[in-house]
Amino acid sequence: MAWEVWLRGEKVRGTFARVLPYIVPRITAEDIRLAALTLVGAGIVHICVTFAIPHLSGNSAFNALDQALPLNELVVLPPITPQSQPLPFMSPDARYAMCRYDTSEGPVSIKVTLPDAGWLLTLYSPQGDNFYYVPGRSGRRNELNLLLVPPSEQLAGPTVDVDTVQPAGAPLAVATRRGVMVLKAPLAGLSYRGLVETELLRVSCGVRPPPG
Amino acid sequence: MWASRLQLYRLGRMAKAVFAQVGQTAILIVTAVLVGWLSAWYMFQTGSSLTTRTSGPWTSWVSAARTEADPYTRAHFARSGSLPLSADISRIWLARQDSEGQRLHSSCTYEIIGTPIEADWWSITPFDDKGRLIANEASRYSYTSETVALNADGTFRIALARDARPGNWLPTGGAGRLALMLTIIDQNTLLHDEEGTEPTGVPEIKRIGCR
Repeated sequence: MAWEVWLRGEKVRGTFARVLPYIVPRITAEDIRLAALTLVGAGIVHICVTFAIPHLSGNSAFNALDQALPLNELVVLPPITPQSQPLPFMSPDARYAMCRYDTSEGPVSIKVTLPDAGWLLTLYSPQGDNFYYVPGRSGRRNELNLLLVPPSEQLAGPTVDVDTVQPAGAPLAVATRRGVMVLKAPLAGLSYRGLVETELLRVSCGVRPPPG
Repeated sequence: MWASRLQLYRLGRMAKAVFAQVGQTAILIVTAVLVGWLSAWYMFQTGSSLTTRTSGPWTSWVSAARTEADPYTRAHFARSGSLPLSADISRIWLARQDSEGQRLHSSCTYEIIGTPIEADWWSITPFDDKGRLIANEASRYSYTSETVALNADGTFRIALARDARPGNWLPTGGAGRLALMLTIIDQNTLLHDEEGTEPTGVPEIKRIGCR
């Protein structure tokens, strides 16, 4: 197929390969080198920005909770409304109890009852990882006794396992330094609010007193 | 005199060359920074097939809150300020557009049409663009698997509108751009398969009309 290109009043006719140099500027080795350098630089910036954002962003959920919640103390949040919404995209179909913990001053004990399906106990790291969770089961009341310990400590006893059936009275050890415990209690309707609130108030979270 | 003029000429040529090189380097650096920043922004703001699943207007970050989450997912949620449940036990879908691809806005009326979702618990909640609940006098903010009224055939319809509607209705008045969140909690079954099969049961968002 023949191509025609007008260049400075002169018509150049031929195959596409013949007229291409008249259509696009000549690409030199220097241009290719510069383009490659730009791409490498862009790649480095891309990687740096992506990894830096979680550390530089002051907007993270943990930062917000770090300022709003007391340390090693349970807080039952009021019902989530537009006037009382600690975090964005927080669903109002549940009540929440939170405990910001730090095990540097000692193990933190958490005692929770998950009375039904939809209840959910979660532990979050400061980076937002939901590294531990226990969901409630339908028709089964799950009494949880957790002991949050610094990662360096070794405790004899059951270790963390989502499906472990906890021996009566023995706490499950979870190795973690800092984070947030979030207990989510579903609201099935207005008539269940009293029951949910009662269960939430039974939750305990605090530094375990030293033995003896 | 001619020698000094020649020296000046050569000096000028050198300066011109240096400026050209510096200019070229500056352009290269600025371009690299812009391209790198914008590409990173796109990846953690909007997501891609590497990090998200989509179904119609709904998008879900598949590694949300997982310990092995990729850097883009971590950056996304660090910026958003939200605290999602782990993708191991939940799936959170977010829609900022209707099923025709038009941006959700409070000046329009929508109908969310769905079939009952097989899960332990699910809820649908409208937020504004920044993730804030929409204030309204009716104090209606979401519907759940326990509270939504079903039709005789098992489907449900939820109206998103500024003014009250019969049946399931969620007010959106004055919120501007909207974001609709579908939360599904189910330890055993999620809506989609990890290997890319299309999710089922995600509701349709139909625009009825706009002011």
